Formats: sequence, structure tokens, C-alpha cells
Amino acid sequence: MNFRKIIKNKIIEIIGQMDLTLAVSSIENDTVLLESGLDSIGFAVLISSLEEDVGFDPFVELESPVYPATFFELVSIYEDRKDPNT
Amino acid sequence: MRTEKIQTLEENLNSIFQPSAFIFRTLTSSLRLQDLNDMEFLDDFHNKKVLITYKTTSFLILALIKTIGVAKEVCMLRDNSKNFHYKNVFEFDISLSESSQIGTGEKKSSRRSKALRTNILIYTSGTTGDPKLVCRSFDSLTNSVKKQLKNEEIIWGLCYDPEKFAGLQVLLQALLSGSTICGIDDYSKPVFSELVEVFNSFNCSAISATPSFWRILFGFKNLSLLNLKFITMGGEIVSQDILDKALQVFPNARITHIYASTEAGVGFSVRDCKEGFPIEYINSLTLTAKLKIIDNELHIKSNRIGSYVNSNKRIINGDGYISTGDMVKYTDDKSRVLFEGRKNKSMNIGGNKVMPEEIERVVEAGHYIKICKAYSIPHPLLGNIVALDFVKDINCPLSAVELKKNITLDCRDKLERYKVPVKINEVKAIKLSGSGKVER
Repeated sequence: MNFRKIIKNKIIEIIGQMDLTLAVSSIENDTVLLESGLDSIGFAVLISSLEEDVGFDPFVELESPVYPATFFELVSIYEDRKDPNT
Repeated sequence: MRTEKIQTLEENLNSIFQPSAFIFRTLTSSLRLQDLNDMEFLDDFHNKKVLITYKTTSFLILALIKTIGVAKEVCMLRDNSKNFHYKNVFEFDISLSESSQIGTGEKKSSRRSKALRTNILIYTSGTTGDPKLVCRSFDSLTNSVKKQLKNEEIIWGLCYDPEKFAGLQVLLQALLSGSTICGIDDYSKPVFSELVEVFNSFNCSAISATPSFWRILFGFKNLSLLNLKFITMGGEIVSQDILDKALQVFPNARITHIYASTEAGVGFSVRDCKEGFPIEYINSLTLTAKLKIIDNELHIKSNRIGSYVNSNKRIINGDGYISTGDMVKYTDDKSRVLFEGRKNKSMNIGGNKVMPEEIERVVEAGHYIKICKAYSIPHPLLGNIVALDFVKDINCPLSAVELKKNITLDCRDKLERYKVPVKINEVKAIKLSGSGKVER
């Protein structure tokens, strides 16, 4: 599963869906999520709707809470869940 | 040495009730006035505590008519009700069930003076902890009943078990005013399409139900074939959109919003088809119930208040009022008081108190939403988030994605940010409790 692509598309979809504005020219690894144009509700909607697309919510499965700040950190959490050894 | 005036069954029926020829009708059975005179129980209920356990609504109504005015206390339990385990907790003199031997008129139990009034024990819906058993006098249950005008034939549609306060009110209203009631024999798993069919079959002209129940009823196209003259709503917040819907479908009906509870009985009613109630009701001298607002909670004082049987908790506060648990606010122009939600059912979202009803009101006022339910779920990263389940209208042309977008935009537009639902799910049905309220 290409999480990078799925999550990027989802961010753009939610920004459109919630009448927000994409605040960066493109979403890159170091893009700070809350500066991308997503507000806090948009971020919450992103996490909960990703669960519908990928079939799991990695945050529910983590033993200690992790707070991703950048796009890279968020993608890593999904990828790491897929294969914990990488 | 009997000094009481002994009355015949017929006299007693006439002194308390005015049953119509058809008392209760379902698609497959009916309880007729004739049946009352023919069927006798072998027990003498005079001044006894009677527990009625029943499988069919018809039997319950028959047993109630036979015991009210005779027995000291009557408690009703559907034999598959979740309260059934309470059966052995209380001591009753007589347990009356559908297997009780019933004769045919040989032994007329003597009904005595109607001065002996019967207390009725009613379970609260139990949405706030264990169901509580409330003792209500027959008078307190019936003094808000309107005797109908002559030549005005009303057929009531029964939406709930008569063992619940809301159902009992409808039953007593019908029995005391000589109306026929139509309904089904098992309300533990109500089939809405069957109910609507019953209402249509018997030309039902009056229905009393919760707003959630109405939302589901309005989903049936053949409901609008009814010539409803009286629409009553209560038990939950009555919002403007559901009042408007009722007006639109039944422009000739008199629409009444009743504020009542098992504990306090009927508090007041509102007939102007606007949500909430006029501010003049607060401290009004003309209402039978007195209202005041303390810390945004509605307090009520009336002569219809009951008492708990299975709890030491007092219903009445030191000032003679009861705390209803219903949170209210004033409209901006201070002309009306609006209901916000239940005190103990608020959600904590990011440290903010949020009433699920406030979100539901916004969503249900939008297009193509039949009924919805807001609730919170904990999330390790996001804290408590607002989730929303909704059922769409049958006629809805929008896809689930489009509907969800509309819901989100509506909520963002009309609610504070933290109240906007984050997780939105389309569902086939929203579960209602036995008394027709959204289960929380």
C-alpha cells in the first residue's frame, strides 16, 4: 500500500471537502501538517477517514502516544505499522 | 359490615373510565367493551398490590382496567422487558399474568367505591443509571387528561408500551375520554411499517411520540394518508425542523409539544409550533406547574410529582422543586427558552462541554437526513472526538460522500469548531429505547 500517495491525496481531498485552502505549493516530507492548510478539525477528519481507506488506525495500536508534526512523520507511522521492522 | 358503596363493574367502569365499544385494536385482535364484562379474573384485587406481567398489550390493558380503582398498587412488566429481573424484588399480593385463570362472568369481583384510588408504579426509562420505579397516584396521572368534546371521535395510535409513562398517558387519555386506541401487541421490538399500517387501517387521528419516533414515522410515505387531527411530541428536545415537518405533512393538525417526565408528570405544553417555550412560562402563575432556571437547569414544581420506590433518592429538592436534568438557554432576544440537552449526557471535547443534541439539531435541520445521533469516542492522538451516525432519507439523491460533506460544512457554519463531527458514518438505523428516545 502506497501510504505516502494515499495520505497526500487524502489531505488534498479533505482541504477541498472542508472548503479550506492548500497553504503550500506541494506537500513534501518536511511540510508541517498544521501549516499545510489543514486545521485541527481537518487533521482529526484526516486521521479518522484514513482509517476507512487503509483499514486501520495506527494511533489506536501504539502503546505510547506519538504526535506527528510533519508529513514525513505521519507517513512513517502508517508505514511502520505495516512492517514494524523497517 | 361493609359500609362502602358496592358498585357493579359497569358502574365502576363508567365512574372511572368511559371505554368505547372497541378499546384496543391491532391488525389481528381487538379488545372490546364486551370482553371486559365477560372476562373475570378469579382473584379479588381489592386493596391488594398487583403485579401484572404480560405478553400482549391487549392483556395489559384488560388487566389495568380490571385493577385500577380496585387495587392499592399496580405494577406492569412486559415479560421480556429488561426490568423483568426486578419482578422478585418487590412484594406483591397478586401476580397477574396471561396464564392466570380467566373465567367468564361467573364470579363478579366486587368493585367498591371509586374513593379507593390506585397507585401505579412506573419504571423510568433508566437512561440515567438503573431504572427507577416511580409511584404515581392515579389522580396525578390523569388530572391533565382532557375529556374530549362530544361528537369528536378520536382514534389514538399507541407508539409505546403502556407500562412506560408516555404510553400510559396515551392509554389513560383514551380510556377516560372514550376513545379507541390502535397499536400492536408487542412493543418490545416495534416494527414501524406494521405500526403505520395499523394507524392507516383504523383511521388513526391522534398520535403522541418522541421527536425521534416522529422522524422515523415521517419516513413512511403512507403516513401522510392519515387524517391526523392531533400530533403530540415530547420526551426529547422538540426542534424547529421536526415541528415544521409535522406542519408540512399535516397542515390541519393541532401540534402540541408536551414537557413531561415519569417523575413530574405533565409539566406544560406549547402549541405555537415554535421550538422551546415562551419566557412567560418561567414564574408564571397561570401554569399548573411552576418553573424556574437554576444554573441553566430547568427546575419544576407541580402537584403531580411521584416518589421513588426502589431508591432512597429524593425526587423533590428542599425548595419543593425537582431538578429535571434538562439544560436550557435563552434565545438572543430573551423571548423564549430553548432546551440544550441532558445535564449528565454532555460530551467532553477538548475540555469543552458539548451537548450531543445541539449537533443533532443542526444536522437534522439539513437536507436528506432522517435521523442522526452524535456521540464521543476517545482517540489516543485526538482526545475525545465527535462522531456522528446518520440515516438518510429514502429520497436522497446524494452520495454518502456528498452528504458527509454537507454535514461537515453545515456544522462548521453553525457550530463552534470543536463541535464539528470528525467521524461521520452512514448507518441503516438508529436504535431507539422502549420509550422512543435515542439511546445514549
